[in-house]
Amino acid sequence: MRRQLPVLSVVLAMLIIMVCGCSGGLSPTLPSPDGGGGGSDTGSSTISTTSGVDLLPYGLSATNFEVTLNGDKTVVLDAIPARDGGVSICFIFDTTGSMGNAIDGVKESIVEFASEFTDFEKVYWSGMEFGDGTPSDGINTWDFSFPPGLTEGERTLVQPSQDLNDLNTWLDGLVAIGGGDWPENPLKALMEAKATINWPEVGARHFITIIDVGAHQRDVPPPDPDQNYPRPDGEPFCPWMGSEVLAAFRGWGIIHAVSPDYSANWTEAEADAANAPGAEVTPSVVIPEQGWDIRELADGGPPESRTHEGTGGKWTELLFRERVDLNELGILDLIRQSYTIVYRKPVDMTSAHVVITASYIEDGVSKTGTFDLGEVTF
Amino acid sequence: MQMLKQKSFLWLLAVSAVLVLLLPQAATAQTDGTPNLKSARAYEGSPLAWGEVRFWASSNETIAVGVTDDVGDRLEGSIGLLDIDVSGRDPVANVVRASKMRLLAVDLKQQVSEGDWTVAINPGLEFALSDPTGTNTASGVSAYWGDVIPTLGIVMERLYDDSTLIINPKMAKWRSSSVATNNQVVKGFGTVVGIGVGLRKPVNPRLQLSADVTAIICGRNTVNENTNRVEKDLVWGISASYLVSDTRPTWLTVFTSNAFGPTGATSLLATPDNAACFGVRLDSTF
Repeated sequence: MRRQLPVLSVVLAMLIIMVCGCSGGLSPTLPSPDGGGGGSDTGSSTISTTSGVDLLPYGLSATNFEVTLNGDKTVVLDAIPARDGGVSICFIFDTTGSMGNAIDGVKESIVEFASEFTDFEKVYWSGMEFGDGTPSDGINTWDFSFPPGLTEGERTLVQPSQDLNDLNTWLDGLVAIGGGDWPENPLKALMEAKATINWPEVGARHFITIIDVGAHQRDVPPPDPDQNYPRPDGEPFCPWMGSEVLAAFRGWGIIHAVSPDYSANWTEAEADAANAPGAEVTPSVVIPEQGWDIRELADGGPPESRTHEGTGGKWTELLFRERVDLNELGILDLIRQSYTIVYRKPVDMTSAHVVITASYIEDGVSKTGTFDLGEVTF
Repeated sequence: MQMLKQKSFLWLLAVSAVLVLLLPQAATAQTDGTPNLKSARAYEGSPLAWGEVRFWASSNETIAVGVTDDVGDRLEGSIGLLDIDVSGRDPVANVVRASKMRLLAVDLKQQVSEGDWTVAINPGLEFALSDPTGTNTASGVSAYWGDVIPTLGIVMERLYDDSTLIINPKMAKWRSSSVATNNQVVKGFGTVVGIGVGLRKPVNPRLQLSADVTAIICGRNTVNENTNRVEKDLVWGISASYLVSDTRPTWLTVFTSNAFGPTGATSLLATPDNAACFGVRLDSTF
C-alpha cells in the first residue's frame, strides 16, 4: 500500500487541479462565425407595422424573425411581444397656449385608452411637456412670455409608473400656456426624455408626440421665425437636428406623431431623389415659419412622397385647437402588436443598417413582413 | 447531441479494444515526452501503439490513437488519428459553439545530435479527413479551417541528474481566416508559433511525473469565451505515468491539460477560458 501512495497522491492532485482548472462546460473550440463580426454584443429593435405590412400576430418567436446588419445576417436571440415583455408609453406633449383642447381630450380619453392594456404584463406610463423649453430649462420667463402678463413657469415631466394615477395627476396639472410663436421644441423633449427618464426594463417604448406646429431644429437659431420670444441667453432652442433624433430613436423607441398635415410640403420629386440608389437621405421637410415636420419621426412622411422610413410609428393629423381622443388615433393595435427583437451584434459596431424580416403563417397563409429600420445607432 | 455521445462512446470502445489486444505482447513501453511536448530522442524498438481520451467538463470527449516506430537511423515516424467532435455546454460569446475535426497526423522526428543537449527536428503534416469546422449553433453557420496543416518543431532536451528538461519551439500553420457559410470572414489562428518548456522526473522506476507549458509568440491559439475572438493563451499539461505491470510493461498516464490534442498542430491550441481536460493515455509496444 505504501508503494501505491505516491501514485494515489499524484492522481488525487491531478484531479484537484482538473476540477479547479475546469471552467464550466467549455471544450476545444475552433473559430466560428458570429453575427457580422468577431466579438459580439446584443442589440435590440422594436418594430411595429405602419408601412403596408399586416399587424404581426401575437405568439411569434425568434425563429420567425431574421435580422441583417449592413446586409449580414445575424443571430436573433429573442422576439418579445409587447404584451409579454412590457411596454412603456410616454406622452411628449406640447402644452403651449393653443393646446388646451388637446390636453383636455387626452385627459378625458386616457382611462379608456389604458383599459386596452389590462392583459399586458407591465405598462409604464410617463410624460414630458414642452413649449420652446423643456423640463431641463427649469423655471424661466422666456418660455412663458405669452400671453403677456405672466412672469415665469416650468415645463414638467412624470417618470414611468405602472400606476395610471401618477400620469393622471400629471395630466391634471398641465396648463396650456406660453407659445405665441412658431415652432415648438419636441425634438429637444424627445432627446431629453430618452436621456433623463428612468426607463424601466421593458421591451417596447412608444412615444405619443402631440403638437400643433412644427419643430425647432438646431439650424434654426433664435430669434424665432416670427421673432417674438427668443431665449435670453442667445442659444438655439434645440441642440438637435431632426435626422439626429430619428437616428437616435430608430430601433430604440417608436414615435407616434399627432401633428398638423404638412403633406403639401412633401414632393414626389424629392422622394424619388431620396430613394434613388446610393442617395443619402436626410430628413428635411421644413415648413416655412412652422418648423420641421415631426411626422418624419413617425411614419417617415406621406407614402407617395416618403423620403425615408421613420421609427415605425403612426402619424395622425391634428387640426389647430382640436381635441385629441387617444382611442381614435389608430395606434392602439400598433402598440399592442409591436415586438422587440433582440439580436447579436459585434461589440464595436455603433450603428448599422438594420432590416428585420418576419415570416409566419396566419390563418393558413404564409406571410412575410420586412421592416427596414434604416441606420440604427446602438 | 445524443448521436455525438454514441459516436464518442464507440470510439472509446474501439480504442480500448485495440489496446487490450496489444497488452499481452507489450514490451518496454516508453513515455519520454510530456503531455504536450515530444522527447528529443528518436524512438527505438518495436512499434509503439498509443491511445488517449480527453474528458472535458462539457461532457465531451476527444480521442486520439496512433503508432510510433523507428523508421531509420535515429529517425522516428508517427502516424495518429485525432477525432474532435464536440459542442461545449457553455457558450462562447453567448452562443454555444460546436467544433469538428478529424485529423490524420503524420510526422517524422530526426534526432540530429546527442550530447549534453539532444536535438531533433520534427516536421509533420496533418490531413483533415473531414473538414475542420467551427459552427455557431445558434445560426448554424460554419467556418472551415483547411485541408492540410503543416507543422514543424525543434526539440531539445537535457538530462539534469534524473530529470529531463525539454525545450520545444514548434509551429503549426493554421488558416489565418476563413469565409464562413454566411460569407462572413472569420479570423482564424493563423501560423501559430510557440515555445514549450517541459520537465520530466521519475519518482521511482514505475512512476514518473511531467509537466509542460507552451508560450505562444506568434499567431493566436484560442478563442476568447466572451468575445469569440482569437487570442493567445498558454498551453499547459501535467501528467503522471505509471508502469502498470512488470510482466506486461505498459504505461498508463493520467494527465490534465488545456490543449486540444496530442498532435503537433492541436497541442498548440488551447481551450477557451483555459478549460482543462482529464486525460487517460496508454502506451504499449507490439
